Amino acid sequence: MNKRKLFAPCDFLIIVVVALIALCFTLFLFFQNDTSSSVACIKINGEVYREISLNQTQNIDLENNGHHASIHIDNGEVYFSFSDCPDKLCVNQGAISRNGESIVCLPGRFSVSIISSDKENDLDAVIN
Amino acid sequence: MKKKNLTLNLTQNALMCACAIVLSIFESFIPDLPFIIPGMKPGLANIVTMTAIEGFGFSSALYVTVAKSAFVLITRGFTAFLMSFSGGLASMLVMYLILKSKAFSFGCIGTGIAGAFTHNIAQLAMASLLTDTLIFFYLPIISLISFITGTITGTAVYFILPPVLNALKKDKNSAKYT
Repeated sequence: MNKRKLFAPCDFLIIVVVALIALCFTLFLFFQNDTSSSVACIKINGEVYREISLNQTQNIDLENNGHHASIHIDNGEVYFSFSDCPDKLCVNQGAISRNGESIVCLPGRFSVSIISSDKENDLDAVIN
Repeated sequence: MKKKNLTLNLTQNALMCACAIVLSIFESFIPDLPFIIPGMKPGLANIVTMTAIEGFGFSSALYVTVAKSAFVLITRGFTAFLMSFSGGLASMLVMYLILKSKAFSFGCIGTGIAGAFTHNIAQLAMASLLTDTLIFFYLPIISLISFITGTITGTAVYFILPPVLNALKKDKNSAKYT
């Protein structure tokens, strides 16, 4: 059996493809960030629980399946201020403030994402 | 194809599965670095998956993926299992296609990068499914990290593979007499 090379010229192909995918997403995210009319969409078990404007200061307590967490919304920023899940990934992630950003707490199946409430920019349809 | 030596196969697969599980346990000890997304891990088990594909074939790589995810299911629960399995299966399939590609001959680092990237994308997709939220915001930085972790795993495979293949040849020779 031929010994496989550490780095073959064809690897550039893989690198270019990965970089292109990343670039597309970066550009896509860069061009859709007007948060003036955005809302924080809180979901539990994948179902929309509440949608709250980013402009008001609020603390929301969540409960699902024995898991508890609270989300704090303040001055255009959203973050998990508390969670009793074991890994605390949601709390450690810090605050989000841009369209499309989201924080997910998998153990409790909580998620909060910033979405544009401007319907004109929305997708035509979402097929599930 | 020659008659397979079942004992040899079983032992090899068990060894591979054990390596993958040990690596993923070891990985969980690495603390979250502050500038990296929480939960991001280098994906060291991809080293074993790549070795399994090259040395033992598709079925062995599938066993490794399933065994690793089953271990996650026992120790960390169903949600973590879904995350682990989606990432493991997707990256295994992609790495298999790349390594077995006849048209191009890819190197270890390229395969590692592709594997790491697919692993992360599949996990993001699974997390999106589980929570019904698109969480692809971190894709740009995740692909950057994939370049680093993929290079690490690819380089590791480059050094691990030759001795494994040599040992495999010896195994096949001695297995004739059993």
